[in-house]
Amino acid sequence: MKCEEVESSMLDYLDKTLDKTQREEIDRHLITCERCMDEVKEFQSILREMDETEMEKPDETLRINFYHMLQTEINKQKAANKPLQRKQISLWASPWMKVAAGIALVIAGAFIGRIFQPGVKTESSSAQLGELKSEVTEMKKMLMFTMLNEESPSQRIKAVNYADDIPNPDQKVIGALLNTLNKDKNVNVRLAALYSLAKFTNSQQVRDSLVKSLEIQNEPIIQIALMNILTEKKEIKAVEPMRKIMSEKNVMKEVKETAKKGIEVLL
Amino acid sequence: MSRVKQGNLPEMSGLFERYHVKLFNFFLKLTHDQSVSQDLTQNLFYRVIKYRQSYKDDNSFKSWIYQMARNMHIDYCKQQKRSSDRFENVEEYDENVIDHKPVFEEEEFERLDKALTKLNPEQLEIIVLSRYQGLKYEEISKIQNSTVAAIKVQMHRAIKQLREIYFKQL
Repeated sequence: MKCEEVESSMLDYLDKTLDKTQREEIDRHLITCERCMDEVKEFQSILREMDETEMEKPDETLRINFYHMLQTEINKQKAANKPLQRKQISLWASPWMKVAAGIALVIAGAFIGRIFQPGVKTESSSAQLGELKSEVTEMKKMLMFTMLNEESPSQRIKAVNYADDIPNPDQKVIGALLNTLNKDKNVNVRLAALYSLAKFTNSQQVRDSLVKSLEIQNEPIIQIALMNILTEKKEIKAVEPMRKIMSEKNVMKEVKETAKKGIEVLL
Repeated sequence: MSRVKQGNLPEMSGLFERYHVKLFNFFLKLTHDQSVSQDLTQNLFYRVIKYRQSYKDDNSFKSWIYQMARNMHIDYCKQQKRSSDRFENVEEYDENVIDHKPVFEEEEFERLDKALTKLNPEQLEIIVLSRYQGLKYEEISKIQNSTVAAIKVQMHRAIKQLREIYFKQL
């Protein structure tokens, strides 16, 4: 065998994809040819180094953005699938739209009343606007609570997404999201709730609740996402549940790996 | 992916979980830039969703998404080239990127990375696909619209070139 032939099948030789006779032929050549032997060693060390390179992890925002994008697309699809007329009817037929319309009417009524009330000095328009905004927020909150009880998962996801429009959400909103994360029967809804909650992880209380949630979740995607979020936030309390996950038998390999990495980062 | 195409969008999350880290690293090896790679991965999945109807059911999803990733990287390079023509600081930029690597990283990995930046883009891409992404020659040939034999030859040349650069640095 010539040196050129050895060289051209070097990669296959090192990847061990050659058949036995070809292999042995190269082996025999290498014993006698120092130059080729050196070359094999150099190739090998480069390939080994490449194999040992570990993948880097993207920032958690990548995942959060992706799920938001996916949700927007799902909502768009839903809207496009419904024929226009049916959509209008069903819009008004659904109970929560009636609730919303009711609230809107009351708000409008109050404002009109104020404008036409004689003798009362009109407040500055910015104060009115602020008031209106807070009323809208209230309405969104209420919609969220109502829609979380909807039968269809996509409606519940929509409800969860309303939380994003509520500035400085109160205990009740956070509580509803946590409840959804822990109890909703659909994994996509739970995930959406988690990503809404991820925005409030600066609060220790929210982080504590997420740690508690990690102890009870058993869906791999949720477990992984939860652990990633808690690790990113350097929440040391997450170590205990992660240890537990690692020691459990029926847990997916990927989940255990995430737990292991999380512990390594946190400790 | 076929199910996604038929309208079952939530299934997309499984594909995302399976591929996003890999593809992020694909971009990272090619660009050496964390935030650029993050953006490219983000846009890639956006395109997958947006152009889901153009997915052909008899193709493998893997080669389809890598094909798209590859095109995005090519577009990105063209863009970069346009701006670097204006500033003419490509060389300097590359050196900076290496310097920004965390100090605890082992020297050898750094040296290999540095050697990789000296390859031409085609050679770098084929090495990344084959060795770092672990794709089979057959898969790469589909992605690049080429034959297995041609890919093997290119791969061999690329590694050989890399070896020369790498050991010359010593």
